[in-house]
Amino acid sequence: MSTPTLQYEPREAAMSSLRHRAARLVLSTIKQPETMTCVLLLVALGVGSSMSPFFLDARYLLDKTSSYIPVGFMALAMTFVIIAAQIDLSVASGSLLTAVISAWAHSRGVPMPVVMVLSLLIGLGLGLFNGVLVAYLKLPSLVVTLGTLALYRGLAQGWIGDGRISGFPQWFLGIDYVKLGIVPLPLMLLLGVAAALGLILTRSTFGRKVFALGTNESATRYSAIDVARVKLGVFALSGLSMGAAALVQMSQIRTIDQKQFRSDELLAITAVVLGGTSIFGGRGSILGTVLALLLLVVVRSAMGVANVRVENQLAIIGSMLVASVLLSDIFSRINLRAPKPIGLDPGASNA
Amino acid sequence: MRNTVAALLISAWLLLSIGCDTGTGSAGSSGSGGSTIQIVYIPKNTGNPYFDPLIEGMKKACEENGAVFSTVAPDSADATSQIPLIKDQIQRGVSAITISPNSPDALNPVLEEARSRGIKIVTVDSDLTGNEQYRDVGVLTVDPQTVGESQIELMGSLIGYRGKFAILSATTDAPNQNRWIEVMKQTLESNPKYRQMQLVEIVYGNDEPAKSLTEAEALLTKYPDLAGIIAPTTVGVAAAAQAVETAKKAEQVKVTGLGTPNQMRRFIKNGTVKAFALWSPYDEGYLSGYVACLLATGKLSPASGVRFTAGSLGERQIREKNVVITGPPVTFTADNIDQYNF
Repeated sequence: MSTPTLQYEPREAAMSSLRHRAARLVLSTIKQPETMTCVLLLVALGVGSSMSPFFLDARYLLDKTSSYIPVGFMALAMTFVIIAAQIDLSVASGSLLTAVISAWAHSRGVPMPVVMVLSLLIGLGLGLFNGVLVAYLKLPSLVVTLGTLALYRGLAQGWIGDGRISGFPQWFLGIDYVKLGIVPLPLMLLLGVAAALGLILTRSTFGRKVFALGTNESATRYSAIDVARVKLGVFALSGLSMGAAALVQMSQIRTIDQKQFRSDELLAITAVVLGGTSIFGGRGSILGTVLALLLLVVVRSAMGVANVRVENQLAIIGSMLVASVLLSDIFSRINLRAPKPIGLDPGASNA
Repeated sequence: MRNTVAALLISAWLLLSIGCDTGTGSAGSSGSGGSTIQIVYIPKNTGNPYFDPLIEGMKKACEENGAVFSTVAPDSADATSQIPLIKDQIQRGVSAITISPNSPDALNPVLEEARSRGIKIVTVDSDLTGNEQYRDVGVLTVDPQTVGESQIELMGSLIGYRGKFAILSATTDAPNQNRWIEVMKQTLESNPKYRQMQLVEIVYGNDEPAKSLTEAEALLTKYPDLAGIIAPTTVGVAAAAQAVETAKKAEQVKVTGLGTPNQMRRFIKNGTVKAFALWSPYDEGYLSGYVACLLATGKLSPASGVRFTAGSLGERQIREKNVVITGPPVTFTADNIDQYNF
């Protein structure tokens, strides 16, 4: 809005102006949503290798990513949803329902290639159902998806009962054991999808509308943007991620039962928020979410090879999330208006 | 600003190292000498009291064999949750993994990977039914034949081998219970000793306390001359004892079945139940730990028919599909129940 820097520049020496710019660069880097995640990732790698001699092994760490790919797909789509200031609590239940129906269809003789397309369509359908309720019936997404969280899981449990469905064809199984060099295929798929979604988020008009919606819904509506369509779009994307998650799960786990995907929606939201995306919308990035997923893999693996109990692992990931949100909140409040040399206490600029 | 970043780095470091300390403290030594045998046990999930005596037994067996024992458990008992834990243990280079698998097929690839690195796999309590080739040995509680026969014998001895009795089971499709009930029926038909015993009905309490209680009460009302109830499930046997106690029919209706001592202690003490049975999870853990140590040191090459000595448990034989059975169920009565705490 205002440009107070102009008042200072004529009075400042050229050198000081240069230092100011450098300070500004450092600060704006720190204020980037994914910087905190990147720092935490480096720290975690350092701590991990000091904790156990077995930790720092690229092949092992890359292998460990496979368990996080289904939740990774959910998190990528969730990044759009949260930037648009919405939430989708039903992703994990939706993935379960998609996987159950797909596995059931295959067990009833539908050929696997058809089932693969079907999975994406079912996911899309479940996402659109959320989307229509949120966008056109104008219900809050928190309430809608809290409802469908229970609805989708309930339907899945009713469908499959206590049983489990397996028997997928051999060619479809074990995608996590297909590797290019030492990189497992699921990770490459996730990174490919992330790159595409990253471009859509930052370079397309849809991406800009998502940011606009998350920043100020009324202003977006008055800018003649079809807000309902943008909302429907992010929920449809979330639905597609359910299909992708279900497919990867079926290939990797080889069997589907009703206990799978439990509280994965919370892990997906954790990854998004840990990646620097604001839970209030309007701010965030795909890169941050990808880094946060890697961070989760690194932290859990480091603690895994050091035999840290799972309960403590959860507590540490929880504290990391709180710390990361707290710190990025502090950074985003730093006032950039007054010029100041690097290294000065940020509080001084307010004086 | 730099200070803030430095503070952040240090605090994150501290946070992680604290986690590390508490972890290694509780999970036991993680020393990694080249020659020490390391055994790790992965139960179905955390916070399941059934696995506590099992872990104690395993710890004892590892101590006796000079092996380092640790245990890690997933936070939920689903098929996916054990996979990353197994990968971590492969990376740690343990000698053997004992595991109570949450799925009979989801673990196949990761177990295959472990075995290709020379890690021995022993399944405990549940097996990889249909995928037995992915583990070295399966240690199971008791064989269905012994459970079924011993339950009928226990009932018979309580009711003087004559009269009507009913069965209160878990769910209609519970595989273990159905196998046992099948054996019970065969035993009744084939052994003349049980000629005068009549099985009048099988009811299902779904392993829910409330439903089991309702079913047990219905049995008492429906068959006024009922002499006994067999409940081959821990939830069911407690519910049946409760129903009989409330109806003050402990003298006419004898309750027995499979239960844990801690759950049944009250009914044994006040005389509602005279005797019930269960295998010993401690012995099961001890046997699995022993088998894992023998496999890891190459002292046991599993094959059907091979005999070996499992420490204080004595001799055991490897059966078909490399299954080892812990032993016959233990019968708990007022005389011995205080020796058990699980």
